[in-house]
Amino acid sequence: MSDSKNQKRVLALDVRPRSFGYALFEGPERLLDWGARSFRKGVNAVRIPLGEKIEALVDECDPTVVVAKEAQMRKKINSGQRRKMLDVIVGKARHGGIPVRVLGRSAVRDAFATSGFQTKHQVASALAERFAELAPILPPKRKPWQSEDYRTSIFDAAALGAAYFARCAKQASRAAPGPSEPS
Amino acid sequence: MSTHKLENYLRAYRKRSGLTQREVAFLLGCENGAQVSRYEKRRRVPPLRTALACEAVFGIPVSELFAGMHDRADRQIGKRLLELRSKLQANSGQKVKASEARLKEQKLRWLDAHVGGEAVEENTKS
Repeated sequence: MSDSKNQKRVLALDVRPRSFGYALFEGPERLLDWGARSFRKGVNAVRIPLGEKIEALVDECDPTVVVAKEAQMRKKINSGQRRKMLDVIVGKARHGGIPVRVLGRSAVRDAFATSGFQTKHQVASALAERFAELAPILPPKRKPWQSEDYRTSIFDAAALGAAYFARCAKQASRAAPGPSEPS
Repeated sequence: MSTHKLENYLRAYRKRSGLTQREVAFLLGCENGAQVSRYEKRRRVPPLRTALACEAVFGIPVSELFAGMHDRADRQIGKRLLELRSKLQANSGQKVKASEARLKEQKLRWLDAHVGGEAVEENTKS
């Protein structure tokens, strides 16, 4: 995970039906920025639409790669909407000449399950431990009757970024096995 | 793969500290948080006094806080050093006083030392 050469600036996005969380990394160990933005509709509608918010964020962060979460293929409420949002992200990023990597839930699971972190809260706690700056915004463990805290999307985005770097490190180690590794 | 630096890392260091833009503005002696926002979003370049105040607030050198700007300036200076050296070398064939020749020698030695350093840095970057 701590490949010092892998200093890409990665913008990880976790898009929800009415908001999105983001985390900006510069290498796997340096978290530059994080936050959540809302683009809800209806009476309390936010004036700036998703596309413009994404564009402004990409412009501000100037990332090398944008990482987004895959829209689930199972039939689910909002899955179509999520896919549309993903299309918006891909379109905006490609317009700026930035490659987009779409990771599934399995990528995040693979990156954290090996260390014994399985639930969202466990992953978020692990991230808050790794990046001390995230600790103050770690939401409390959700009770079954409670809805998800809006800050969870920030941790989901950070987990996505961490999973991307873990995958890059795995690919790099596979491509160039070290002298100590068995051939 | 390494990437070019961001113009400034004010937002990253501010968020790490947990301070709000308004609080940082108060520390820097700015009117309000909007000014800090403009610096963070690279819409305005802070004056030298504010940049030095940022260094004092976050305890990070200006060259690291404004890493992108620093790198760009570094590259431009490198190019100009080469240009100046070639200009001085081009004029070296002309007849001049001994004192002027000594001064030119001194300048070329200084430039050689600096251009050498820049060239090494460029090589390591590429």
